[in-house]
This record gives sequence, structure tokens and C-alpha cells, in this order.
Amino acid sequence: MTRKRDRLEVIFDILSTVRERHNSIKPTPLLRYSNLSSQSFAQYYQELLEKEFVKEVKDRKGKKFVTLTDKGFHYLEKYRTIKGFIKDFEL
Amino acid sequence: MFWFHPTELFAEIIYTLIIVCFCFIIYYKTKGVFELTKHQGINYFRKTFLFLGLAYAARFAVHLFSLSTIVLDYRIPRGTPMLLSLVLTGYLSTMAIFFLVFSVLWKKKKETRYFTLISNATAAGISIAALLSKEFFIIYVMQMVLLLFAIALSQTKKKTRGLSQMKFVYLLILVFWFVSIALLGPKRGIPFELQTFLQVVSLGIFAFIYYRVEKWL
Repeated sequence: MTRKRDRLEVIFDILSTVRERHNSIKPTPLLRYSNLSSQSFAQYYQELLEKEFVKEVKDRKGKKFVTLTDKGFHYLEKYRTIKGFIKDFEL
Repeated sequence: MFWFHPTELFAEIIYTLIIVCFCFIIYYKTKGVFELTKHQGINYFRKTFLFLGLAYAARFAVHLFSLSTIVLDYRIPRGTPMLLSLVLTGYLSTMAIFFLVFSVLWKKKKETRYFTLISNATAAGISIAALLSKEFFIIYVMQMVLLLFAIALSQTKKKTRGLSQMKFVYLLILVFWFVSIALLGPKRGIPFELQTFLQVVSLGIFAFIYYRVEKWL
């Protein structure tokens, strides 16, 4: 049985997915890759938008894409440090 | 209750300054990682050191009486710093204990809505009790009871026995806080050397936490 991901891991996975798709992915495939229920995904997605980890952009045809902001890239860079810190201090 | 010895007062100033600096640096260092993650454990952890730093600073206020006679050639009325210190130390240190305990337990406890209310009410209660009794000893006793209750709470539903290294360090922080409060009381029988030794060990624990924070952030 696989371990349930914690909140920080889920955020890392979503942001990593965006980065791996050349920093441009539609919301529907992002939901599929995230391995979350649509309800959970909607909550995380909203949180990431509010915290400005990702932003939505539209192409010329008006299709919506998700891209990482500088803050999102920063989170990905810092993720291992954050996890290490939390584990070390048992927080 | 108060002593007046320049060497001991100087040692007390240095001890308080270093601890307050460690606490505020830890609080500042963890700001970025908290703002990035909004992780509750990190939130409680950094607030522990904010309140602990303020509590150590408030604890020092009892020595303002002695310090004023040296530095200002003026005697601050003896009761004022003591009452101020009692109220602030009681409140701030109790909050620090709550935050430290909660930084470790928050994942296990599903019900966290009343944390702010319970912690503030308890801290205010201890603060008022200290003010009425005009004794640091009451803070010492009530916080000790609080800590024992927290330890008992953390042991419920626990599968493994014993303390991890970091929890042991957290416990030592609280033990040395109690020692620092005890040193404010009548100190007949506690030699200056022993007091200094305890303060150095206490500083070592804060330095250890600072080193670990510095390593990661």
C-alpha cells in the first residue's frame, strides 16, 4: 500500500508536473497527472493561484494554460531543504 | 529576593542577551520557509522562539532595579520592574511552552480550533496568579504542571516509547527555562559557579538549535 502524500508533497508534485511540461500545461491534464480527486485538486489549484505559485495564461485561441511563477520555481528549489528542516525538527 | 553583585549582574546581562539573540535569529531565519509553505508546525516552532526570546527579556526586567543603580545612579522603585516582569514573563513563557508543545503535537490533534483561546486563557491565568502572589515560584509550579500534562497528552496513543533526540532537546529548553526561573528566587545555597555552569549549558542548547536551523536555512 502506498503512503498518503502530505500537503507539501502534493504541492511539489503539482508544481513539478507543470515544470516538466515546459512550464505550460492545461488544467485538465494537470488534474490527471496530480493523482488527486477533482475536488481535492480544485482546492490545491485554488490555493496555488492565491499564493501565486502558479498563474493562468491564455493563448491566442483563448485556451487556458497553467505556468509557474518565480515563487513556484523558488518552492521547487527549496523543497528538499523544507522537507529536511521539518523532518529534522519533527514539526 | 534580589541580589546586587556587579559580576553576577554582568553574567546575567550577557546570558540574557545571547539567548534573546539566538531566539530572534531563529525566528527571523524561519520566516522565509514559513511564508513559502504556511506549514503549521513551522509556524508554532518559530513562535516558540519569538515568545521565548521575549520571555527571557521580560525575565531580565527584575534586574533593572540593580542595573539602574549602577548605570543611571537612580533607583527604579523596586516593585515596578518586578511586577512588570512577573506579568510579562508569566504570559510570554506560557505561550512559548504552548507553541513548543503544539509544534510537535499539532499533527496528532485533529481539534486545533480552540488552541488560541486555551493557550491565551491559560497564559493570562498564570500571569494573573503570578501578579497576585508576587512570586516567580507560582509561574514555575503552574508551568511545571502544564508541562507534565503536555507530556502525558503526548504519550497517549503512542506506539513507541522513549524520546527522540530533538524532543529531548525541546525538553531541555523547557527544563533550563525552569532553572532560569528558579534562579530568580532566593538563591542561598546556589554558588555563582553552579549558576554560571547552568547558564552555559543552557546557552549550549540554544546554540545547538541555532546550528541546526542554520544548517538547513
